[in-house]
Amino acid sequence: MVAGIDIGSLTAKAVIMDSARNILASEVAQRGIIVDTEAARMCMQTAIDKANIHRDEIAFTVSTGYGRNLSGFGDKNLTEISCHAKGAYFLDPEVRTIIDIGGQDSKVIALESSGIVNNFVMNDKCAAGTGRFIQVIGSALALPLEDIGALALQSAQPAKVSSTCVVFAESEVISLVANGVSKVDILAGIYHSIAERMKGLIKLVGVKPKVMMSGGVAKNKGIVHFMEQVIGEKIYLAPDPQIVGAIGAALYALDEVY
Amino acid sequence: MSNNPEKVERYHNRVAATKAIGEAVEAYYEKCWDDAEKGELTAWGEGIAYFPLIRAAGVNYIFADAMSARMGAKKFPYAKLAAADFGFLDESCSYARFHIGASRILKGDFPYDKSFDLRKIMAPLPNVYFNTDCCSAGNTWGDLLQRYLDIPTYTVYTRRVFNRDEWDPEMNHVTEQLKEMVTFIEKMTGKPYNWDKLREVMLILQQSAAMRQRMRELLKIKPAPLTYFDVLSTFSSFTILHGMPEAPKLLEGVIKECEDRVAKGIGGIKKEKYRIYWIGAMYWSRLGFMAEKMAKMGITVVGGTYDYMFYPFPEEIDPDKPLEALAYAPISCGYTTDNDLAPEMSDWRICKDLDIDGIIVWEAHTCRLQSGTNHDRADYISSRLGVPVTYVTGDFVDDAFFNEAQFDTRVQGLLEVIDARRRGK
Repeated sequence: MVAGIDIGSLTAKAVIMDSARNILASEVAQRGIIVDTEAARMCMQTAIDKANIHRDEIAFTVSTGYGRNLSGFGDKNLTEISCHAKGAYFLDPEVRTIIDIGGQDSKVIALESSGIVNNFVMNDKCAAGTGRFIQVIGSALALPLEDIGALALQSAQPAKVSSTCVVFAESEVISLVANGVSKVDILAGIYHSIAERMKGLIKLVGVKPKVMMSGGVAKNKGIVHFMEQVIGEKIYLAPDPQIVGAIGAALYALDEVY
Repeated sequence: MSNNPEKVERYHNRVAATKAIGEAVEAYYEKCWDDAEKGELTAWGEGIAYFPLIRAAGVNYIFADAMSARMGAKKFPYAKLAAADFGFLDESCSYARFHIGASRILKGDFPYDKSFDLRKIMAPLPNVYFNTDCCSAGNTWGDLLQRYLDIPTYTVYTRRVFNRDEWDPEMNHVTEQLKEMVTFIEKMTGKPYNWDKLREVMLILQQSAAMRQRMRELLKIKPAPLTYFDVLSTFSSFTILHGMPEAPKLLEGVIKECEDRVAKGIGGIKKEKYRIYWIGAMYWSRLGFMAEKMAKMGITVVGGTYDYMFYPFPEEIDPDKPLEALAYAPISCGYTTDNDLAPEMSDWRICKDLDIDGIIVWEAHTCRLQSGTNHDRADYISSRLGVPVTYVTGDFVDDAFFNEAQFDTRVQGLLEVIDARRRGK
């Protein structure tokens, strides 16, 4: 057995895989404001427990994400670029463009037909257009994260949200609420602005179908809808888009052992 | 971190001879301070300035960008604060901000921690300013300093050249202004212009350019005996020490050491695994840090576009036609003209000869001029050679725009792509 762990800013994701490339268990853990060593360790242990194995049975672990260098994790570390590419290609070998929107960064990866990364671009200098942004807005609108995806699809007239900064957007949202704009329209406006921001990044790499979205934000139906509108392509989702990076990391771990 | 510096493992095998250039630069700044105290003229100027023209007149010339780079490298925090206090947004050119901030500190208009010795960090206030209008920031920068310091200023206006038909008219336009600049210099110095000295300065510049070319040849060797960071460490020999007799001798020292390394099979880094081309400016505040970081990753940066600034080719410097040579420099610079008119900055053949594995594009956050052109260059070279590219954001001298985690992830991602391509999977 091998393990892949993706230690991000908001969540840690772990995948346990056997030599036949079957996913035995996975876990997504969120603890506190940022992911620390303890949160990552708990996530890994929970995945191991779910797989009904012992820690000693893990032959190799690959870590990825911004926390990939946290001590005690990973016999090897690789960036999310490689791991998301590998994970997405494993789930669907027809994928050629991956859009990953995580907690604190977003990236677009172009794949060749062999699965090799052709090009990539990242936005990790600005929280606007990341999971953190959606978290802040959800909080400002007093809506639970699990509800705010589909809600936006009810909007007939998305609000115009002009701020490109998370902090100022939050202020703008509060102002919109005060002016009687519905939460549904505000959410739709926010998602549209995120999609527009991503468009610039996507254009740098180019869109080639099939397009897959990965990362926690891909679970947000509203974002996916607006992304499809903006890029003009259907977006495919993995059964659990949040663990795509961890799957890729586990596959790389398999490469080391077998 | 080890308390014993002997035990710190180094991956960048720095060319020792570059240290002598650093020492010569410090000595030059000291001389500028001493001369200023004696009442001798000090000139400041920014952009791709016509410094040889000023050097030949016997005037101590301070290249503003270099002065800002020095302040960044010395971690002097007050220049930036002084500029912010003046109203400058952090988003504006950091060369300009640091330089303008320095002028406020030198004038006594902004406080700083007196434990900093300004002689070791900046240059004395100028008596005259040379503005080169190389970019919109440069133009405003010079204008502001002229008014703030209330000193005579000469501006050379360079128009952007879009095609070959515009080349000769613009050469004439700039050359005519340089003739007037000579008249201006004569007025400032009270002496007839020394054309023989200018010829001498241009000859020295030509010798320096030939040595730079030799360094570029050395970078083609595998493993490269030096890195692009070593090359950049020599820059001050032609941006600060330009036209001074010691400049070519210092460069010769660097070349000799590299040739000796080639004979012994010694590389510029501990173990060269990747050969990378660097498009864009450089993080002058942390040159040593970047050199070590790249080396630790097994990266030899074997060249970069910044090396094609400031008179890179000896054949473009005719000591008998100095004004034309000086006019050529800003017009042909890849940051002020179109890519096909400054081919060396986009020349995929240069990168092919260097046998590069990938490209890093350094986006200086506060320089729109650079950011606009770098993407084109990277795309072009990448598509011709089939090598991957990564973009990292930083700045020339402002540490606020550099995020090490971001840098590490993007560069590591690039190396993983290179590795995957090498494996074919």
